[in-house]
Amino acid sequence: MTANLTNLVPLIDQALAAASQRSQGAHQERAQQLTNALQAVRQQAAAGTLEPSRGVVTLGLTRGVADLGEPLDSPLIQALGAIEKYYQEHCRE
Amino acid sequence: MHSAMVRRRILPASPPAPPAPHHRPALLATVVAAAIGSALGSGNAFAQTPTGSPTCPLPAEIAATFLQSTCSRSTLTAPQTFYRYFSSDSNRKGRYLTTDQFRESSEVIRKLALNQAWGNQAKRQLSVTLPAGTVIYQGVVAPQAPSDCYPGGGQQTFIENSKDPAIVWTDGPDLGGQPFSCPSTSPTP
Repeated sequence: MTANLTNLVPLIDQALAAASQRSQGAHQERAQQLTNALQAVRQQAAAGTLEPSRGVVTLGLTRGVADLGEPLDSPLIQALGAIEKYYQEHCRE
Repeated sequence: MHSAMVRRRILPASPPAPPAPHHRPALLATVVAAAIGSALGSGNAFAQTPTGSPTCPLPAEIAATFLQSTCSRSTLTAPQTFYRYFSSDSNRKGRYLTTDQFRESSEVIRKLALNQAWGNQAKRQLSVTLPAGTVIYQGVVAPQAPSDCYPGGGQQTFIENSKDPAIVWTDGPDLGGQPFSCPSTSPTP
């Protein structure tokens, strides 16, 4: 489990890179929320303390971003989806 | 056109597609049926043309926000009203709606898994009337970590274009109840 959680870190780093390219101004608050969320998950993944997904729990990352206007095929959504997919499939227990 | 008509007639009699290894079709069918049943029981009559799918005809990233990545796609044949819960202009309009009505913010946050890292404290209800022709995706809200705070389980309706000018967003009542508190001390978003 811990090893699998550690494997989440590079995926999270990719999403952080995509998040850093988000527009400023009106979307700055959302970008900051996403960055904070990703960093919180990254910290727990690196420490091995993230809750097991049991194959059904999500991290809420895609849900948080997709709600408010992000194009559904954007690189950011795909990066977040990759995190969620790995978490559900490989961090079950 | 003809092939589409034939396909419509054939599809219901076709055997279901084999599920992914981790899926539990019987349980999922029960859960989704319960959610839809709940919606029907709310007096909000459905006016849809179900196109039916045993999985979820959305990009996998979005499908994963539904429990077990399972949802159904429908096209509204008449305007239909859903609900959304928000706390500020920044989260007033969005793609995620529900047929569920709640009285307390904390219940909304738990059932709809509104992780507080994203700032939506669900203090007010919106009625959201979608026009005929809108494609909707419906299922059950997936749990989010920490799942003791955000167990999900509410009804979830997803629309691809929340900026459609034909959508009518009507402010509803303020929600009451105790402020949301999370029993977990985890800093997970």
